[in-house]
Amino acid sequence: MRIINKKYILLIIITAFLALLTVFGISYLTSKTKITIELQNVSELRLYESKKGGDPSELQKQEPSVNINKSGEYNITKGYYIYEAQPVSNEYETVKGSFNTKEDKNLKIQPNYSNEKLKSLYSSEISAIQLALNTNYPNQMKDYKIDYGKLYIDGSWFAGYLIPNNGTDNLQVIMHKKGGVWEVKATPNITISKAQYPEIPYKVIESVNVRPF
Amino acid sequence: MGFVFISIIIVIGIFTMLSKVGKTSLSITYAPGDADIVIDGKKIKRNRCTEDVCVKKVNVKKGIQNISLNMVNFNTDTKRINTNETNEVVLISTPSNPAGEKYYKDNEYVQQQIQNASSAEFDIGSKNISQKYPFIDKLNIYGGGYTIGYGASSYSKRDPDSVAIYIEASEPEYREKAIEAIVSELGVSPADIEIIYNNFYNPFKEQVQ
Repeated sequence: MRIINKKYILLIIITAFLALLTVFGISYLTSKTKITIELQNVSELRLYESKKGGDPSELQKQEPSVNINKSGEYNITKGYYIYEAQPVSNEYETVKGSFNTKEDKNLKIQPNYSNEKLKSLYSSEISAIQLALNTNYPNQMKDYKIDYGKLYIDGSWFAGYLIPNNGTDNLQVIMHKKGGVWEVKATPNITISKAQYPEIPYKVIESVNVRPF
Repeated sequence: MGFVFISIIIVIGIFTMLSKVGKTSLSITYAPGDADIVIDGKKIKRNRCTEDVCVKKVNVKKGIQNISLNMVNFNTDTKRINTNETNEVVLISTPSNPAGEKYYKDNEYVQQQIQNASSAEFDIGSKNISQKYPFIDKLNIYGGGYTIGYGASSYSKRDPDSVAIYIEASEPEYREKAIEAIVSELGVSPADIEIIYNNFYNPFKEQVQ
């Protein structure tokens, strides 16, 4: 009788242990999710676990949960993350952002050129930009000059102002370089909005609408 | 027997709840009441409507939906809506040929339905605009040398609920002041909304070569 009781107790213990193992195993597997990360011009990507709506400015206060330095598929714990991507060189800017593993299964990080790089590119592009405007608006450009111009993103977007020499309105202009050629993307106007030009990156439109005068 | 009955009720309840997962309620006001409502190619079953206002509530998938109102001898009215942004739509079909005109004239209730649906469409449009552009309540603004109002945007064909801010000013400095007022008093950035400048001749307009 005692031997039978002992056998039953052992069986219960083993069953309970296997059940616990199964529960923890399932819990572990379901707590992870696969994320595809694509990095371009990034030397290191640091992921920080965060509460929902975490602020990227909180990054410096904690250690990263995950460090990634090449593109690929990664199993990471489900949840919200803040990230910081260090560029391969100072020609590019550091990128900060956030994502939620429930909604974002693909994370692509491609830093824009840094302000310094864009400034140096601008000095070599301004002649081509001027020529494109003169070609598109040969009569009008006699009365205007380009000012407050900047390049954006990968150096292929230009936004600036056309300043009149006759006291009329200052006009915004936005152009895009495609196939080596600068094209006017928004008709010069007093203000240009994303509502009329949804295809223009918002960063460009937002910046040019910070009026410098 | 009681157990079986309760089980059936529970199963029906669970099935009903599951069928609503990922769906949202959509209110369709339509006219004429005899027309067929089609959602993403599927005709919706309903009873013929002879009341002054015809409304059908349906559960549809969340997201973009194509909804049409079809009736013989009447134009098809099709609307493409995003149920994440709105939960009501109005469909109105009008006569497309003499037979449709005769049907319209011979049935007063159809005339009333179309008139009421048109009013409902206007009310929904106004509500959508107020929700999308809350600053409208502060307009018109009358400043030194300028007036700020609102009206249809230049791209309203692709976005019927879109609105543009209108600036009436005769001099460049007043137009600049009006832009400052839009930012400071309306809390709106010119980057986010079209601004149309009356009394302003743009020498670059539509002259890209």
